[in-house]
Amino acid sequence: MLAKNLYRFATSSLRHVLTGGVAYWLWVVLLLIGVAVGAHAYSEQFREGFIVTNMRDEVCWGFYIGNFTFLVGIAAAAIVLVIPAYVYDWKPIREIAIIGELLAICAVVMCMLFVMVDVGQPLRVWHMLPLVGTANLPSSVLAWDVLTLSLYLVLNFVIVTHLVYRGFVGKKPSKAFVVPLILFSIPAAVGIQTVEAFVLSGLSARPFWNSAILPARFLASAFCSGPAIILILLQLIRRTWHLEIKNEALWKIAELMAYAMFLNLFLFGAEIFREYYSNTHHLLSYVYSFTGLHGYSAIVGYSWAAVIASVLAFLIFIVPRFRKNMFLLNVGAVLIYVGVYIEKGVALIVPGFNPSTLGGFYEYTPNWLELRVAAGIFSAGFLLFTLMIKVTVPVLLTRKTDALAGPAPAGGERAAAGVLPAATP
Amino acid sequence: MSEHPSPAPTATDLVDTDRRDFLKAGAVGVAALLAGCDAESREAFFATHFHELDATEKRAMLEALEKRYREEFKQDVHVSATPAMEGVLFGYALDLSRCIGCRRCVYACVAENNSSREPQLQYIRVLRMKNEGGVDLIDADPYYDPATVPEPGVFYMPVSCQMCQDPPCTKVCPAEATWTEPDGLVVVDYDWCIGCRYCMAACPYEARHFNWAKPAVVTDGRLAVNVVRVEPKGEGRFVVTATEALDAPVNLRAPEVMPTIVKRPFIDPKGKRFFTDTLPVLNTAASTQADPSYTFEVASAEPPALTENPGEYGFFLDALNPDTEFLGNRPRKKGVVEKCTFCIQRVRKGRYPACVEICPVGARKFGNLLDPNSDIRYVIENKRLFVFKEELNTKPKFFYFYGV
Repeated sequence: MLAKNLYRFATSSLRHVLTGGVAYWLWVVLLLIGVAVGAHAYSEQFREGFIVTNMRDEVCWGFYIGNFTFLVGIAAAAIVLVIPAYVYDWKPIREIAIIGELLAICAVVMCMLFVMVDVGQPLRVWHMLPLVGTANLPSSVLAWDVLTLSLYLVLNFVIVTHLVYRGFVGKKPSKAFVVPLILFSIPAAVGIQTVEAFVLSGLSARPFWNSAILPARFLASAFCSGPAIILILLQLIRRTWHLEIKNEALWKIAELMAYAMFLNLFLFGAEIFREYYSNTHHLLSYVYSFTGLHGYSAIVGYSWAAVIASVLAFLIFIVPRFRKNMFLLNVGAVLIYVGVYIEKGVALIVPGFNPSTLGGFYEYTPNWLELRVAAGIFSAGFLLFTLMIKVTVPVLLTRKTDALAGPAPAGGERAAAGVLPAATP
Repeated sequence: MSEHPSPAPTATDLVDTDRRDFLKAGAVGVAALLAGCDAESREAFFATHFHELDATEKRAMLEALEKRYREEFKQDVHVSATPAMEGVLFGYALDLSRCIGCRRCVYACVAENNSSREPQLQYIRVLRMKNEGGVDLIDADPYYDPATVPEPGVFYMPVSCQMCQDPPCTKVCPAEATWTEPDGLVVVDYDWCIGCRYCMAACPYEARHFNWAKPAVVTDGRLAVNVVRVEPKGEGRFVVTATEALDAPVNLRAPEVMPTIVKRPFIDPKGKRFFTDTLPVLNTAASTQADPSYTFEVASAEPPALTENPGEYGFFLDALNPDTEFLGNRPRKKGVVEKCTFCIQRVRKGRYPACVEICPVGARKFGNLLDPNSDIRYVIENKRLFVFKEELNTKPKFFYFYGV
């Protein structure tokens, strides 16, 4: 029975993935081209070594680690939907919480890919796993990072699969099984973000990162950037499948983002005050970031862009009238995404290495090859999300007896044939 | 997975690709990578950690390495895994008042340790700082390039691995690919390193270096010297003292002298210039030591003759050093981290590190911290010392001092 159901589930999922309009196939082909471009760029790096990137000894981590850091935040942000849905039992969001979990799965997969492309010996990554390799536990935070991310991936995958499969076979999800897992995903999400911040903040050699409030800043910025993507995705899904997603849900998310952004800017301001007022050598990385130092100023534009985008977005989201205007809401979401992406991608990593531990400067910005590899990974992530949403939404639409969600409008077949437009946040 | 380029997809391929990509990503990706790799990478994939090998397995592994290097470099390369000696803890001291910033140590180190010449990979970084500023890193210049050294108004501070007793680098390594040996040497297993570069981010001294490209070890070039003194050391070995003969044509006679190299121009693909093409000339008058010279050991049946004609002797400049150690100077591959090991291949056999031997002004002292009669203990007990970045509590076994 189970085998038969699984077979039906698999073939039905495949059918959903394979049926779509012109726009759907254009989108999929576009993403596949993106993956191919990234794979081609990576093959050059694999063949020639990291000399083809802009990283060097002085700045030994760059855009890849920046993206990794950013995406851990996106993965953790799923709980912005889960907490109101399950802890506060807020119904409008509960119906769409699964979107956040799908996003978390994709974000973690992309994190793993960024780790893979950022190690010089990708075939040896198993060395840092426990049991099969020689994970340096408990002392290496990076080993913890990989471990916790893997567990978080499995956790979300199990939750989503359970909900979708149960919905598919027309049964209620097993509350005893899935609710504890969902609740556990909340501390787990905080955990992956904290461990990721510890990777950087534990390094006494790098004063720019060696700060006690770095994990708090990571959490605050993640709870802006993740929901920013979710806001836009939800609108696209609503338009495409006519799935009922209430405006109240979007506004509630925007309200939570405003608080998170306030916290993010406050913590940033606290760092700025401490460094500029005490004016020690540790200030130099900030001077390098915001005004340039010794004639080196490649990062100045990035740093200001990140701050300005975040402040503007905060102003939009904190005023209820603005955030309830759909146009301004989307402008704010894009600003937050851009602000946090630039901050985590470049403006956080590079100043950690400038000045270097021996006082030198190396002007790093990602080169064309690194951008192509990153684009390939993002394409793979979007593709994975597209396929998963294609399988998930019809089930969301048709399940009527679901205990975890209210009745959904009929129209699964129409949705299955629907199209998903190109959606790059 | 995104690691390999795929041909233009057709409609049916799409399904296949998607399902492969996302349902069996791990297994297929690794298999594809393995299939696209050379035998060496495949072997390394199934390797076992150095510490888990027994004596027989170690010997077999070393022989396999020697075979591979012989094929690659067309010469015999000896790889040993010399264990640490009992009762030895290595320490290093550097006399800032003597150092003249000539960078001979930098290039002797590169040659001795088979580090990459292109792209340049150097364990020692010499910082030039102003006398009035003291050790102020933000004004340190590692790219100084004068015609002669030393220069007035400045001092030089060579920095390499400080062999911390509490090393941040080994602590952060996610794969136990780097560790502290019983004799205090912090080493890397190049066959276990995954190349994540976390150790480089953690090191406060820029002592760790990544092989950004396939390291190029063997090139041409020799430096002529005049042999001015020869003393027997027993067992067919002689201690040779030589001075530089920079203008002399090179016609190498002694087969085994310490290798070193002259600087070669190298432009990073990104256009970043590292060092210039000539070493600065030693200004003997301004040096704290009147007669800059090199002292090194030579294995020879007969004592090497004193130089009569210019160019009779020279250092091998860019040859592969065939006397290698598993955890030291054996040839590396791209994508792994390496670092100073105090010349593990030398010091575990009772020799000085290459930088100590080549230093023309005797600024570098080395020895066993546990031996009360060693040079290093003399320096510690009689000179004013400091350790670099003591506030980070890394507890270096590398000391700086002012000898005069």
